[in-house]
Amino acid sequence: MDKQESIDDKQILNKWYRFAANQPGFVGSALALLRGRRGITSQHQQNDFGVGDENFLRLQAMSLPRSQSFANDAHRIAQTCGLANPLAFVQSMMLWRNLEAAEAQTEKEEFYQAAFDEDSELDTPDEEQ
Amino acid sequence: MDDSVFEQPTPDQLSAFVQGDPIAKDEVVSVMLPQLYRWARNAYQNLPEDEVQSTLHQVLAEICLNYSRYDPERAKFTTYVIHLFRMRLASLHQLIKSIGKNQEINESEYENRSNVPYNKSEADIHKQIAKDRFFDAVTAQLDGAELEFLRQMRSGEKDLAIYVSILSLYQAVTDPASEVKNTKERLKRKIKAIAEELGYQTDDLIGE
Repeated sequence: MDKQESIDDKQILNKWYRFAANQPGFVGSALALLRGRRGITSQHQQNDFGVGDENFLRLQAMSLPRSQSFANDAHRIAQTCGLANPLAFVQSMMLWRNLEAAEAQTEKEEFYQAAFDEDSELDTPDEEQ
Repeated sequence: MDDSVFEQPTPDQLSAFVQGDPIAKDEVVSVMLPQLYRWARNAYQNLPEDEVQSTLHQVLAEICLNYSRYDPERAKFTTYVIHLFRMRLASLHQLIKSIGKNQEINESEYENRSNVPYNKSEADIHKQIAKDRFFDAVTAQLDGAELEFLRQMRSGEKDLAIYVSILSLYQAVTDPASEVKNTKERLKRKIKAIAEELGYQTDDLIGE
């Protein structure tokens, strides 16, 4: 592979990384949600994980860990992307998973609550002041 | 499977890919994307490069998300990607064509068109509503390939290549023309049976 082709490959992959990082099902979407919830910047995350710009972009384009081997997959992803602090990434991913689970549970509860709300729960003229 | 001009992922990478391993997905995309991108750029020189690239990205993201749909025993990875890619481009091309057609229709032609709602009789409108309701009921009873076939048939698609692309996503295709024909006929019989069951007339249900 000559140098020109190698540079082109890199450009092609970088464009893919930028695309995938914003897609659901990829690490970038999870990290973006965490940034929003924790009020931190991507630079903060980068510092936490101990990763440079290039590898941080690649990290965000990785597919999310599988649910059945979540922590192990997250750790392998961290190693593949050369993170100096892989445990910080694993912890972040677990936090994201918990947030997702909590959100799904809340939605489920709200759905069931709405189904069981009865007329007695509603305001009646007697209760109005 | 025939030899491919593309360098393929290793069997181990593919085996891990279809189990959803995120590292394997990254490896497969890293090996395949530059080759596929160059192929697509050459094969579709008439299309804007950004459009080609964006479609390829969407297809790869979709494959990564729905990794278990790919069966390495049935098709090479590149064959699978290229089929999906062509389908997406065909849909895009169809959409652009229909937008272009609509723009060409000037106001007077529009007024005279028989399918303008105001030019339709009440009976035509009722027929159209019944037809739409019927197809809503039918789609619930069709599998993936049948649904795609129905969509294409209703839009008047005649290109065999489109139907072959669809079919090859769901099964190995050895005799494209006859397998497409058989699938269409089976689909029509199935629709007819559903229509009879629901008490609909089957004439003119599919625009084929």
